Amino acid sequence: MPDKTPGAGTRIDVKNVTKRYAKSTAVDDVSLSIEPGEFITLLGPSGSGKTTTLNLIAGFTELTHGSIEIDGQRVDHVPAHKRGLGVVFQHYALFPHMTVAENIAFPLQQRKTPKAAQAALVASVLQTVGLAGYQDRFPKELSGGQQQRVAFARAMVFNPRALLMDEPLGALDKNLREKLQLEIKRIHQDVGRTFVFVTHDQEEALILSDRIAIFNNGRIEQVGTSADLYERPASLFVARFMGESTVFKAQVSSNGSDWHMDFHGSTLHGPVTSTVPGKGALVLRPEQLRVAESRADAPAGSAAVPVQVIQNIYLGSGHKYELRLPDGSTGIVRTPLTERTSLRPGDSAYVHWPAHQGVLLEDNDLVSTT
Amino acid sequence: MSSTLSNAVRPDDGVDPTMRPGRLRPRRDAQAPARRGRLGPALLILPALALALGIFAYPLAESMWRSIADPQPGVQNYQWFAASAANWAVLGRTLWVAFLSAVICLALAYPYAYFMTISGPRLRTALIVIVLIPFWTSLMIRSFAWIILLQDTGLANQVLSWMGLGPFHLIRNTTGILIGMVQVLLPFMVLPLYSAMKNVDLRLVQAAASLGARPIVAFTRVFVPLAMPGVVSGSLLVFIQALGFYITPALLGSPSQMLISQYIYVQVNGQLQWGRGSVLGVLLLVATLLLLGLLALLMRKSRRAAGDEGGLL
Amino acid sequence: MKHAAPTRTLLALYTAMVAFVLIAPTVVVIPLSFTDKASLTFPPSGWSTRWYENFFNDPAWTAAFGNSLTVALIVTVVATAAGTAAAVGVSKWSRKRMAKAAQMFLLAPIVVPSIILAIGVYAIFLRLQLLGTLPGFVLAHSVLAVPFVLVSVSAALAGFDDRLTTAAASLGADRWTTFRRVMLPLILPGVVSGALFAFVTSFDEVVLSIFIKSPYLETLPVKMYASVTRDTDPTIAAAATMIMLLTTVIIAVGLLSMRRKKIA
Repeated sequence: MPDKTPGAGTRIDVKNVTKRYAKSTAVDDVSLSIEPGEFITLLGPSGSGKTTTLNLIAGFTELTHGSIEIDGQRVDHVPAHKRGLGVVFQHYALFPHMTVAENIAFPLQQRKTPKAAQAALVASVLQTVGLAGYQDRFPKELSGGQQQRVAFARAMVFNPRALLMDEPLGALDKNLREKLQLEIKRIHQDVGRTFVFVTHDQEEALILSDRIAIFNNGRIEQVGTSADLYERPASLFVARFMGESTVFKAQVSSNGSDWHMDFHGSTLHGPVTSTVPGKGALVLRPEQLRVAESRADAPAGSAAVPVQVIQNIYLGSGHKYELRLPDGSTGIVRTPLTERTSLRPGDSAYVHWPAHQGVLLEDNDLVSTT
Repeated sequence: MSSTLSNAVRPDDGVDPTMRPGRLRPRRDAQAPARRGRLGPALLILPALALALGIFAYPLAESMWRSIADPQPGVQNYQWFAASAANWAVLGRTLWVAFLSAVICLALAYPYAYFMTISGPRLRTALIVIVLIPFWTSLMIRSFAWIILLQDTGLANQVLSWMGLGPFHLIRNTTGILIGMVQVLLPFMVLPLYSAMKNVDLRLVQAAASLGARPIVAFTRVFVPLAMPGVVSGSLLVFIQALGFYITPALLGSPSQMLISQYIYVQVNGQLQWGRGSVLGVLLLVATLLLLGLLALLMRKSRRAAGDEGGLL
Repeated sequence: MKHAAPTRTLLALYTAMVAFVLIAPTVVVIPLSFTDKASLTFPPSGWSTRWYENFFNDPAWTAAFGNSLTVALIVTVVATAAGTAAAVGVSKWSRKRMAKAAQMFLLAPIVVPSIILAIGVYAIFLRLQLLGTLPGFVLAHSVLAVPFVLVSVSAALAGFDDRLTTAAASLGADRWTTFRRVMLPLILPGVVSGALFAFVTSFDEVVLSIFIKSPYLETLPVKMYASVTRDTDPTIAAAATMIMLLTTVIIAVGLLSMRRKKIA
């Protein structure tokens, strides 16, 4: 069984790695330090380079530039079968001509584990994933969820230095997916190994990860904890990809301590914390915003922007508003039930927030939303 | 007809019919009863059927009949076959040559088909075209060409002597037969092999590597077993066809080392021993049909295995 | 899959060797037909077209060539008609088991070794005095050609939406009109390739032909067979080259016409 000592994980360093194909660059100068025992998720839309990065770590793909180190040792020219990493594949990749037990014993046979020890390890890992008694079935005789568990058991049984998972839950239905997410999280806590997880589902990333690396166009946009990414996104892409947001775009000016922007007649401002961009995009999360029926209802000193209500949706836990901003873009607000309004679609209203809130980012959209 | 239509798609019940594809299905089945019992379509088969009955079934039956009725009724032709060691030698040689053809074809075709699966689309198309070329070059022409290339003064021996070898007798013996047959039968090995190999999920080989398998282990324990259906059906196809070959052995082989089809020709055309020729024909036919049955069985089995897998997904 | 460079190079070399074995006999005949010597040595030492002249000046060769063309063309018509009708019948026959059995029976002639069929046909034709006759050749070749038509038309029918015939019927078309105006245009590529196969099958047929020929009527492959076993005359190389050219042109035309059909 895997060594259960907490902190027995492995450190993985991806240093300035680039992968170029004939016509495209899949991974472009990516650097990422994965701490021992950490659960890190590579998150991004399809084609963003996250799976290629995983394949580079696993050794399935040859890198063009840069280096990859495992526990300080360069491995980028070590073939996949000598890297000692466990991999769970998107479609499980179970050997169809071998039984469950034969699949799981396969990595042990490669490591010349004695026969008796093999049998014991297989039985024990099957117990762990809740498939005791299934050892003589063939993969095609199992459900999708069961196949997933076998794939997981096979990747774990030889006590790999780290476990790499490429959208392992992508093919399962929602209920099963949520159940297995919790199981994966539990196993990670039990074994204390380094887990590298690839997904395009930000909710899944939030549930599972210690840290998340957001991929876009072959680059990493930001690495951080879920809270970092949600509260302090480093780019407009991250802000939009991690949860809902309302974006106010305008030219920004600065007097050194405060920045200002004129958003279609409303003056927005805040304290300067980093470089002030020329074209700015002020990002606010739905929970940071409130809706008022008139400017006078907004607290004094708060920032406010006139809007038109598109939808007012009752969610049980509160209300969700969809609003049309003066520049034509859509804003989203979530309020608790205690702040009920009688606003209906088509009504004019104000969206407001405490003036210092929000994150000012560079507006690097190629096409403006208006 | 109108009732089946309204059953399948009833716009007035307010449900979008496209939401329930299951209800569209019964349409075909519902038509079947109307068609059942009508013999019209069967009549269309008649001309081809008459041709096959007259020029295929009748001659075969005639042959089988002659094996027990020529020159007089009885099993003397079968006794003749069983009694002569020379006859068994012909049968043994035929099976041996067919077996060797299958083995050599496999040895040549396996790397070829594998290379097809790992090469780019353009090279792959070229390799497929090369495999298909023998299909549209007549057997006669190719056997003739081999005579030119393999004769004692032919190109093959020139090249060999240039390398300091030979000269070898490459035709009028079993070597010649094998070279000719292998070339003719190679496409029948390459095509099933290629289709089996291209269906192997190469991610499984990657998975094996991630589990610590060296490339050779990943290949032999994962790729080879998964491509095995192609090996089996290709080998059987080649073996079956090799059993009945006539032209190639007749042109490239030797009269002193006959295969069964040459022996049939000699019995019937040379010695007018219809009964004996027919016995040989019956043996060849039975062997062919048994092997074909085996092939069909194996193919159905592997198809069913594949079907089950698809069904679960 | 990833391969180390040496493995890949070795594989490529091996593949090239196999490819050479596949092509060699096809290629060697062409230069040989242009040799200037009366011997079958390769490579030829000088060039001429005398063996083509010889072919066209020798009535035995031209007659055989003419017979082959005549037989193959009639076989194409007979086998295509019978095979297409049978394919449609098999696909429409509601008693699927019977249809399947009929189909297997119709395909059987190409899986049974032709030598077995040949001695049977020889015996029957001897009795019916069909040896060395045009009808005899056409019948014998058609039996071998129908399976190819059946296979290729059946494949085309598998992609044919049966509801179209119902639709045509509902629009007032009778069965023949439905076939001619709806089904035939859609399965035409299959019919055309079946016809090409039928032609080539007949044009290339040797084993049956050797048994059913007579000194008065023989086809080109029979003449070639006799020539290979008796003479050492490069005329046969000229004949082989022309056959190859003819079949290649036929197949190329067929492929092109099918591709055009697809684009349209």
